[in-house]
Amino acid sequence: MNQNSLLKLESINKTYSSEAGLKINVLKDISFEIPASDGGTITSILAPFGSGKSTLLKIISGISEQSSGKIYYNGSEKKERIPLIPENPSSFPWLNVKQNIEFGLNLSEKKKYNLPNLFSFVGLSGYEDHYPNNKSLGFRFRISLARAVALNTSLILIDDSFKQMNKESREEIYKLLNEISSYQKQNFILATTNLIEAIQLSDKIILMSKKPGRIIKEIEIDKKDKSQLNDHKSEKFTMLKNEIEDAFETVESLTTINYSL
Amino acid sequence: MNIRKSHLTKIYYFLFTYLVLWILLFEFVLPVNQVLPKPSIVIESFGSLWTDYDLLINFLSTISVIYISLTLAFFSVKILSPYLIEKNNFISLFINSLEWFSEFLPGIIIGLLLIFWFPESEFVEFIFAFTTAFTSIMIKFQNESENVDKEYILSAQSLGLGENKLTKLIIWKNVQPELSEHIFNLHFYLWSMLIIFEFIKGGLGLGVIFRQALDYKDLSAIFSVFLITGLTVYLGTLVLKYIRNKFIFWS
Repeated sequence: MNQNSLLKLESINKTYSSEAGLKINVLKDISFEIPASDGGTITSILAPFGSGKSTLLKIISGISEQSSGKIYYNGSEKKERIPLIPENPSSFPWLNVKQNIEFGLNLSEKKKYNLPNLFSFVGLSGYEDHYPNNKSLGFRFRISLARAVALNTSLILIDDSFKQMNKESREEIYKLLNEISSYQKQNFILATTNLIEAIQLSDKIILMSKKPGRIIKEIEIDKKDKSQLNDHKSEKFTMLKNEIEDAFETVESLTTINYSL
Repeated sequence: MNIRKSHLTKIYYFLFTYLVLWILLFEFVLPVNQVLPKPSIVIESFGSLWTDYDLLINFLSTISVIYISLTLAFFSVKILSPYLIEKNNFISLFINSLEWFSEFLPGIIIGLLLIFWFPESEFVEFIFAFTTAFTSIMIKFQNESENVDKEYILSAQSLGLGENKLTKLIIWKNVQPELSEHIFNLHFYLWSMLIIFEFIKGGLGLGVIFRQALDYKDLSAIFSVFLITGLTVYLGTLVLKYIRNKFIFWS
């Protein structure tokens, strides 16, 4: 087992039994590795709706059990709880911003994160006493993100949390994730149906097919190319977009990947 | 919520209008009759309630049974919530069988049958009120816990929250808005059932005053106790509303 891998999945399968007794295969032979690195990375799992992305994230997070296969976290098969930000970022409405962020910390024995710095970093400084109900989706995502970052785990999972945000909020959150990844050396796995989002954010894109979800292709993105990929008219961007589209078309003619910005 | 608010406003306007009508008609227009007493006689009868009907003791008896049983039932369900959320334990199975039975026989009829079945005693009255409140709150908690947003549960589980704490810190909190609405209805239901309990069984309580006043055909006393009961239920509702706004502010 490679000790230098942050996360390694080996032949993960997930099967559910329906009420009628039928076996439903949700994930099929999922294997990939995220190497441990000195800086933070963002890995996107780009897949159509109903491909089992959320199930895969729940398995990685330790909330759900795989039917077969192995997961290694920091080289060890020992179960770890990895923070997961679900599709609708959920900050608890009965807790204020500060209490929401401390919620996970109060459950763990890990050392206290420097919270004032974190508030400022995620743009929540001055809002510590505010309650999240009636706040925007972007605001609630920042709370969920800060709550996960405060736990000081080397990996955070995000399950397609941006799709209901408006363009401006999304752009701000992309910038924030890139900053946290670069400066705090935080690793993320992001499940998404949005191709542009995957290109704009990722250091690595894992393409997954429709149900039963299986890996079609892994694309590594050179850090040097990231600035060019933010320009949607650049040659690099078009090449990568075409490569992803071709990969999906070879396995299924119709996907629900969102190709628009 | 707005629909409920406007509904309550309509009830208050209705009651206020009829109160004014009663004063105008029965005090100044209509002659003395057997339908409703004159407002001035009702006001005079308040004094006799203290001396002839032991209003203070009876009043304190009813409100202490209602509000202590309601509070205890709420906190008992809260403490037992990690156990009650599992539907295959004895308490859940027994209470759910009652819920199933109430599909054939409405809860108010079951309540009345139990009143006749129970012996007369203050303690039994309290047990009756507590059991009614506990059963009602528990069934509501179980039903609402199935509707908790899965995103909250996923977030909490991924932060390392275990099953017990998940129920106490996430599911219990999540069901509070619905539970508080339910407690408003339960509050009215408990008042009705306990007045009936006291009316039938005797002992102490406002229901006993209704019974005695009916025996003496003291119409103005019945009317006065009715007004006191209505006012107390209204004040109780205001206190419950204050508690909800203070502690369940996110609802």
